[in-house]
Amino acid sequence: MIKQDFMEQRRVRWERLEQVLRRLETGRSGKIAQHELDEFVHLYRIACSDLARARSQDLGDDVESYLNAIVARGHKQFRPRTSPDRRRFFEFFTHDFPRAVRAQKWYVLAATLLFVVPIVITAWAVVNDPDIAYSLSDPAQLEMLTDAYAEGHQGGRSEGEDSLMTGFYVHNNVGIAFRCFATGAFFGLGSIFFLVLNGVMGGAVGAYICVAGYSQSFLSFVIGHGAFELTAIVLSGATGIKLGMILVNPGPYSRVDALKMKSRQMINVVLGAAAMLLVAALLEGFWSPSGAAPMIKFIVGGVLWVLVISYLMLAGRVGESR
Amino acid sequence: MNQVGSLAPVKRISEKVSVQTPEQIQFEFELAGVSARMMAYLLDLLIRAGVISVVSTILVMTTSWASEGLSAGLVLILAFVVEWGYNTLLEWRFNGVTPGKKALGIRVVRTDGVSIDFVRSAMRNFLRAADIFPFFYAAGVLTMFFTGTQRRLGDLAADTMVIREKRSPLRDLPPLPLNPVEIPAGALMQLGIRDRDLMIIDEFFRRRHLFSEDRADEIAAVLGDPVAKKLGIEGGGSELVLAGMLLAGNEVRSSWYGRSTATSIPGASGGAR
Repeated sequence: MIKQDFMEQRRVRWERLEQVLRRLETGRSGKIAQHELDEFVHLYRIACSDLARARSQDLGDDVESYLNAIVARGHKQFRPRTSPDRRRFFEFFTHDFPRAVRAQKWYVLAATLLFVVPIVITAWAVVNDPDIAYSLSDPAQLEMLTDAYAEGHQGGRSEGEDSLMTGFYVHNNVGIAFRCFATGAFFGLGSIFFLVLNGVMGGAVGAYICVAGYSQSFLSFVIGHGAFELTAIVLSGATGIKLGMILVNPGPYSRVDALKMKSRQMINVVLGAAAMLLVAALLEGFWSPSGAAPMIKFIVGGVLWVLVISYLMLAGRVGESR
Repeated sequence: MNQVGSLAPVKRISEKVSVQTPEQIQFEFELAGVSARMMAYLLDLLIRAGVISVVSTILVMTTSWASEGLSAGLVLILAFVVEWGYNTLLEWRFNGVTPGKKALGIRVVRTDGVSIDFVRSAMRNFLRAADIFPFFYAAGVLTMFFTGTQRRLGDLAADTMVIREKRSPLRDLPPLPLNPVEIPAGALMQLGIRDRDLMIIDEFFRRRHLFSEDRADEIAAVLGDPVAKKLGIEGGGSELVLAGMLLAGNEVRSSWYGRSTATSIPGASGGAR
C-alpha cells in the first residue's frame, strides 16, 4: 500500500517535528539552540508540502487533519521579533509617546474642550447658585470634601495614609483612564461621556469648595498632580475618540486595516497616559497633601504644568517624520 | 447515539478559519466558542483572586509593621497590576495563552495565525473595559455573535482571534475482523462511496468493542447490506462487508497516490534530504 509507504517514510519526520514543537511551545525562547530552530523550519516546510500533497492526492481525512494540526501548531511559532530592551523602554518616553500624542493632536484638542468646557460651565453655574452642586454630586460627599479642605494640609498626613491613598489613586485613576479609552470602541461615545462626566463633576465639586471659601487649600492641592492626572485623562479620552472615529470613518481602508495601522500609536498614548497617572498618583499621595506652603505648591505645580506640556509638544521632535 | 446508524453527515457546531502560510499552503484553525472562552475567563478569574489573596497576605505580613496604610496601598497597587496586567502580560509572554486558556485548550493568535505581540495583547485586553459593558461581557458576546468569526471588540481592534488547539493524532487502521469480504477498489467509486462514508466506517470499527454483537450487526447492516446487495455478495456478515470497503477505500487512495508519484512533485521530495 503506497499510502502506508508514504506514511512510514514521512512519519519519522512528523514525529520529530512534534518533538521540536513541544520544546518550542513549553521552553523559553532563549534556551532553544540555533540548530533546533533550523531543524524546526526545515521540518515545518516538509510538513507544509506534505499537507498540500495529502490534500491534492486525497490521502484521507485522518492524515490531512493530522498534518493540518501540526502545520497550524508550527505556524503559531512564527512571531514578530519584538524583544523589549532597556533602550526601547527609554526611547518610549523620549520619542514614541510624545510623537504618538502629537500624531493625534486634533483629537487631543477636541478631548481637552470636551473636558474643560463642562468644567467652566458647571463651575460658573455653581458659583452663581451653589445649590446646583447638590444635584450634581452627593451632598454628604460634598460636605466631607469641604471639611477636608477646610482642615487644610498644613499639618501634613501620616506616611501610612499617604501610601494608602497612592495605592488608591493607582487602582482607581489608571482604571478610569483605561476605561475612558476602551469605551471609545462604541463609536467614541463612551470616551466623550467619561470626559464630560469627569468635567462636570470636577467643575461642580471644585467650584463648591471654592465658594465655601477654601479655594487656596483646594487649588494648591490640585495643581501639582493635576498637571499629570488631568492631561492623562484627556489623552486617554482623546485616544478613545480616535478609536471611535476610525470605526465611524476608516477612510479608504477596511475598518480592521485602519485600526491595525493606528493601533501601535493608540496603545503608545494609552500606556504613556498610564505612566503619567502613576506619577500623578505618587504626587497626589505624597506631595499634594504635604505641609508645604501653598505658595510653594503653586510654583511647583505651575512648573510641572509647563514641563508636562512642553514635554508632550517638544520631546522627540528631532528626526520626526510628518 | 441514534446518529451512529445514519449516514447523514455529522456536522459539529464549530467554525473554521482558513489561513495561508508563506509557502502558499492553506490550513484551518478551529475557532473557540463563547462557552470555552467564558470557562477560561472564569478560571483565570479564580487564579487572579488566588494570586491577589496570597500575595496580599504576604504583603500585609511583611509590611504592616511599618504602617497599615503602606500595606493597604501596596495591596491596591497589586490589585491594579493583576486586574490589568494579568492577561496582557501572560498572553504576550506565553504566546497567547493564560493558565485558564491553557486548561481549556484555547489560544489567542493574530487573524493570520501568527502569534501576538505586545501591542495586540495590550489592545485586546485594555478593550475588555468596553467588552464588559454594561455587565458581564454583554457587548463582547454580542459582537462575537455578529462578527461570524467569534471575535469580541478587543479582538477586532487588535486583529486577533481565539482558536481551539487541536491535537489530531495520526492513526493506523482500526482493528478489523478477520477475513473481510474482498471488494474491488473500483466498485466503491461506482457506488458513490465517499471519503466521509469511509470515515464513519473507520469510526465504527474504532468503537466496535463498545457494542454487543447484535447491536454491531444492526448498525453494520444499515450500510453493509445495501452495498452487499448491489455488489451481489452472498453470505458474510455486514461487518465483513464494511471491513472490505474500508480496505478497498485505502487502496483507492493509494492507487491515486501511486499514479501521481510517477510525475512526482519536485519540491516535495527535494525538501527531504
